[in-house]
Amino acid sequence: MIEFQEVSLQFKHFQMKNISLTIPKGYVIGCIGRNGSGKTTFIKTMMDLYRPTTGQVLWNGALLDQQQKEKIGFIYDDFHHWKNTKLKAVRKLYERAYPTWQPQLYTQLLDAYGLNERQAIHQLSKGTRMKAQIALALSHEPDVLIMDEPTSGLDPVFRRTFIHQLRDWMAARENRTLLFSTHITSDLEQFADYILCIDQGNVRFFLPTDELEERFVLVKGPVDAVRALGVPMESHNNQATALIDRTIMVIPENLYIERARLEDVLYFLTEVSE
Amino acid sequence: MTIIISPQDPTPLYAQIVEQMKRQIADGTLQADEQLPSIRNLAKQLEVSVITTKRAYEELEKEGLIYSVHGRGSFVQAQTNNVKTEWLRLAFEQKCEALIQEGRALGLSNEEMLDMLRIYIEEEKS
Amino acid sequence: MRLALYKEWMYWKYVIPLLIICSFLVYFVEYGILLPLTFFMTGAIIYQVITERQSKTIELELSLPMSRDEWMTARFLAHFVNLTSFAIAMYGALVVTYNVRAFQELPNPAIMLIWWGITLITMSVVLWLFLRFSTNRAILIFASLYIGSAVIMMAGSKTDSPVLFSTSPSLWNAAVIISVVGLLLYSLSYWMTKRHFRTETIGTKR
Repeated sequence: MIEFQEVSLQFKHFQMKNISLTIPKGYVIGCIGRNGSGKTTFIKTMMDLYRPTTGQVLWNGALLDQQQKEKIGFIYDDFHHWKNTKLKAVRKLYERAYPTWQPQLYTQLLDAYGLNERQAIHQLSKGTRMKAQIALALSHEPDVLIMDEPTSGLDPVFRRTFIHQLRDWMAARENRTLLFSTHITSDLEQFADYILCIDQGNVRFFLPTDELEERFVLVKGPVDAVRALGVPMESHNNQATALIDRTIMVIPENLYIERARLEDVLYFLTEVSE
Repeated sequence: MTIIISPQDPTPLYAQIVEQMKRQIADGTLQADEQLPSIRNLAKQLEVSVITTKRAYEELEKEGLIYSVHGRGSFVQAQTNNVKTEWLRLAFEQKCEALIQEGRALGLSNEEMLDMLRIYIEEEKS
Repeated sequence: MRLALYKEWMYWKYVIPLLIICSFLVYFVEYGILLPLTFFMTGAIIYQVITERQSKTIELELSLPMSRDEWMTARFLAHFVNLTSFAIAMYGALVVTYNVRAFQELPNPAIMLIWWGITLITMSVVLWLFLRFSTNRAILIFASLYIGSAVIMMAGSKTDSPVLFSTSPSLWNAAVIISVVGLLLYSLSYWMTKRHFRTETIGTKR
């Protein structure tokens, strides 16, 4: 498991304050937050690309080292490589990097995604670059997959297929961990086991999805009735919607209860403030 | 085992699974000592998170409806007929309550509601 | 370590054709090849760092099973090997050229060593500057140093001695001193840059 011990980062225009949490092994962790909220900073700190100003990140009780990295597959928000590099060259680098590299699996994925190794990476569309990253990340059979916005640039059809693939990947072996940060929260619905919500450098919550479902619901009703609850709300004509935390508030009878999707939770907790 | 999850329903998904499994145990669809799918398999089948199925099984075990054997999985706990009938009765009572509330909201008087009930029972007989 | 070296090799293998071409050019320009080569070595360092930063490849590379120390060591080692290979190759080409031209003596290895040492000194400074500071700042400092040293050299060079064909001890002394200084400076640059890299936040330097 991955442990954040009082991690803080200080940048010129951004701050991440005192994060302490443990990411359990064997689950799908969804990381949601608005653009610029700190999701990428969080992931980069986890991957030791950012060194915290205070605190430390421990992987299974130790700092991230080579052996641990061999079991990590990563997909970042874009494919970073030198301009004229071909996919083939990057693949060769990965082959050498990971002792568990599976050439057949890689070829299968290439075919499935319609990728051609001889293409230069920077010439590919964003979506194709992401697919290439996915193929590279999965082909060495990692125990942990860290993904930062892996579905950005991918159409809804591919995204759905991708999530199915990830489900299969998780189910194929015991104790595989998946960390998936995205602003397309619908990808995580009914898939993530835990949700980590980051907003402006702070962790808003880190909860298992059953608790999330128990706690948060949407209520709808006439504006006055909703306003009486004293929580941030959104109104349209004479109807208002608000997010209620059931553990701290009882819902009056006259309001209509609706399931709060992840998007609703994110929206009401970080955007709406009335 | 067929379970339908309704994402529209504000009830937490694990609770929906618990409800449906309870019903299936009560009406005999799930038989005593029948093996249930593993947490992971059920999650995959229903396309929900593992946390959801895990919680559902935990709740069911707490209520004494299922039991698990280490290394082998989870199984349906045999229920006495009394217990089954009790649930079904309880479910019926809850429906009655809901019906009465609706009737009142519609503005029906007690007499009108009882009359309607009688008519429908009569119709059913024939 | 092998991964880091392989990564450098991916970049440097394209220099091999250049090595061959330069070896041929020696026939025509002899020692004249050396100054352009120094420029090339320096330019290659800077170009590599700039393109790396633009495409953010370091993020990917350090996410692979590679440590920061290995990354830096491979970088310094690759440049060192590159320079030394060129030195040896050019000297070999000079030997061949002299033989073809039926000169009565071998080219002076001391000259080669001096060139190697001076280029090593230059590379030490450039590597440290560009790997430690942001691109803009590094260019600024580098430009000032360059202009400064050019001024000093112009002020200092008055005599034109037939140095090239002399094997006097003073030349060898100079060669040894310069190459040792070069090695020391290179090691210092390596050590300092490696240390700084350990705590750097990757990907935010431009």
